[in-house]
Amino acid sequence: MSDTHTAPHDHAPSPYPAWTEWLFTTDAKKIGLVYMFMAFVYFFVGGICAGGIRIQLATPTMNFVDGVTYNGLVSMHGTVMIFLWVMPFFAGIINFVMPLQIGARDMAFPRLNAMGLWLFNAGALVLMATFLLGMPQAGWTSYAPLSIIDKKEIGMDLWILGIQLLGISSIMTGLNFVVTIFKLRAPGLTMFRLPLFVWASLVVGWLMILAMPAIAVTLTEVMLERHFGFTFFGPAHGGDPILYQHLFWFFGHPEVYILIMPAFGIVSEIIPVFSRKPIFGYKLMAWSLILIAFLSFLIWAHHMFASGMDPRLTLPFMILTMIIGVPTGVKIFNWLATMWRGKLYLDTPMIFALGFLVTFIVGGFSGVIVASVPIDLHITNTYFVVGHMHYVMFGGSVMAIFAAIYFWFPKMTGYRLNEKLGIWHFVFTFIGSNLTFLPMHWLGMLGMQRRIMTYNAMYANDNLMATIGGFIMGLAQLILVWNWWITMKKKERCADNPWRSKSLEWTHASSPPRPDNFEQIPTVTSDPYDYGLPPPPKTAKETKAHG
Amino acid sequence: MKPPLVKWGLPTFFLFGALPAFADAFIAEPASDYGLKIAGLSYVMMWLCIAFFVLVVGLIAYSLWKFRAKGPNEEGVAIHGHTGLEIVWTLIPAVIMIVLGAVSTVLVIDQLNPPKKSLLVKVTGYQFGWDFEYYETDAAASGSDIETIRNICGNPAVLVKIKSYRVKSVDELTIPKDTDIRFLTTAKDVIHSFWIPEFLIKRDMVPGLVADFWVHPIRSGVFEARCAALCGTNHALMLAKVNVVEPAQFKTWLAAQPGADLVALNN
Repeated sequence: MSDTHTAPHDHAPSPYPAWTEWLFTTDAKKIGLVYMFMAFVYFFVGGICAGGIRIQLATPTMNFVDGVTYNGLVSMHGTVMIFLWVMPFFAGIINFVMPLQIGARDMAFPRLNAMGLWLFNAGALVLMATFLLGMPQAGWTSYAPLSIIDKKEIGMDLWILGIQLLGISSIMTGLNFVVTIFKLRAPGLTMFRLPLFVWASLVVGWLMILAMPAIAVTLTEVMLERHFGFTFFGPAHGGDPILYQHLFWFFGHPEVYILIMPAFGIVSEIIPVFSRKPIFGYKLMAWSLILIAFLSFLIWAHHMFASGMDPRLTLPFMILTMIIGVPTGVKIFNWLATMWRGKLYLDTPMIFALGFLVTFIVGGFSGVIVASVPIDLHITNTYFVVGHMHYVMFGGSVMAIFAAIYFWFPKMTGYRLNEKLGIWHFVFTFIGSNLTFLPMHWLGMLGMQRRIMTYNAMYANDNLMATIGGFIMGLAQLILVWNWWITMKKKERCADNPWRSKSLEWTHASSPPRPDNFEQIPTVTSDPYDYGLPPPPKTAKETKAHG
Repeated sequence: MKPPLVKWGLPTFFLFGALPAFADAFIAEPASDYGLKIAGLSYVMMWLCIAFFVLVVGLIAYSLWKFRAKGPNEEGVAIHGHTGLEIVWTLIPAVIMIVLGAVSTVLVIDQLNPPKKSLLVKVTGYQFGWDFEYYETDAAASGSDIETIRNICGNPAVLVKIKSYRVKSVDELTIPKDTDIRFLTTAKDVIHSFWIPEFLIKRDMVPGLVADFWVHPIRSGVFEARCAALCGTNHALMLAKVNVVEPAQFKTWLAAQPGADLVALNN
């Protein structure tokens, strides 16, 4: 990319109106902002789907939607939240922050980056078309043969096409992350001087490159089977429905870590800044990211313990799944140790990061419970799994997304979001999400299966609680929108580095950064997280251990 | 018959003994001895998780109280890590995982070794209902041979070894208490999943494949079988009534069914 100090689009008279810049830009920051903005729009689309589901489930006899609409909402809620909210938001925040954190002027392949964004928008529009033309019926997992038997169902075809486009976009984006981090680091920025958010971006890049082809191939096979007479999964002609599940989850489980690794990175950035202390055990934190990513490719079949695959095979998958809990537990303890003997500042990013810790561990614990094959045979495909997965995806990923929004908003705009509104946003989000997702654990243990539109009356109270919680949580997001609106209206400039952070994007770039990021590419001479005062003499050997 | 590990492993469920009062609140009340073990393990796990949750949240709360900055521009202590501590909190979860993994493995092996003689019930799912067919394995036949059992659905040659009650019921399952019952699950169209919550185990019903699991009901009553895998528009309504009855009552029920003579299938 440009090594000159002139931005590629600076001052050159453009024949197109200004807004087209957002369409044709190859600037990673602008691409990042578009990703995040679109993701936030789709967050509300997915939220409206969830609202429909929760209204239908408010009472056992509710008749809000019919079965086809309900299954459509279930499928689209999952699809939108995963592929159009959490993934693109993380793609956006990595695009914006990562080049700044490594002292690069842009991504390694700016045009590929723009291409990824276009394909994302195209894929998203195809998925949105299902709301008009008929929603897919088979859930976000689209298990065969349910996804194959009805060949006239246009929603299923659109879903396949949409996910294909998004998958290609993700492969391009992941490739860009990896090459950028390997090739464009500032002088002196060695791998073990990288901020953990960059480590997380690197690992996510690899996950995208390696996992996305699996879903691309699988869905191509589904398409061939639906319309071109092939047989891969349909048992009527000798196909194997279990094969679909193996292929899907070989993508699907790394996908789960694509959705949570950037959250680990974000929280690892925020906790040291607001504890005024270096991250505890930096190298172990980096290695645990790598180990988790590697293991995530070896545990896919833990989604399939009840599938009818050979029960003997469940044992190695259970053991590997439990092993992945160890580095995850280490991360939690290291975050806690980072706060220990720090000086804690409770600004909104830190509050959301702490909210992440509290809710994510619930998801982590319930994850250990579902990892046990015999327990899983009881609770798989029940509301327990729905609760578990939402504690990880909402309590984990989305809490971290909010933390990132409050943390990097000054970097993106030069304005700081209102603290008071931020705290109300947190309070209602936290209360609402726990009211929604906590009862799901015992609903599943007691016997409520997932993806159902009506249920036994014995589960009525807990479901009503979940519906009320869901609406509190949903409405709380309007506080964030309002906060954003008034902050952008007031235009009260904040300091370039309002959080006294010591990573490059705050210390060496203005807020918002100039189009080519840095006036001069910085030279890095120290480790990241250079916070805190030297410890008193008696603990000096602890710092020596780190080097 | 049971491996010694099972005998040794079972006492780890002692906690369940202390918790029946909660059984209704958080977990379906078990109706089989296997279900009792699952509920016990679940409760042990639940309390362990709650203990760790309290520990983590306690540490956060303590830090917030003790290490809160009092003014602007304060700095913490630049501690970069502590190898000993990190080893400790790598080992603690590792040990817990090993114990949980061992207990879980015992229970998986339990399911892998079904009793030789049992009542066989073939469950076939379809959009949106259930067929239940009853068979009894001949004591002389190696009923535990999984291939033999799976062949019920395919290869007629092995059916000699199987006696059938030739009873088929739709959307209603009747099974005897205090009897080993082996379910063979399959489906006609798409994937369904056969789940009676009170047995605390389920198995998918996959077209073209026969899977199995077994239970030993210890409690009679009326339960509900539910389809647990999204199978189409009426997925939520794919339910079957399950009657667990006294063995004598089961014989009476069976005799009342049309064509209920105990006959070999191959005649």
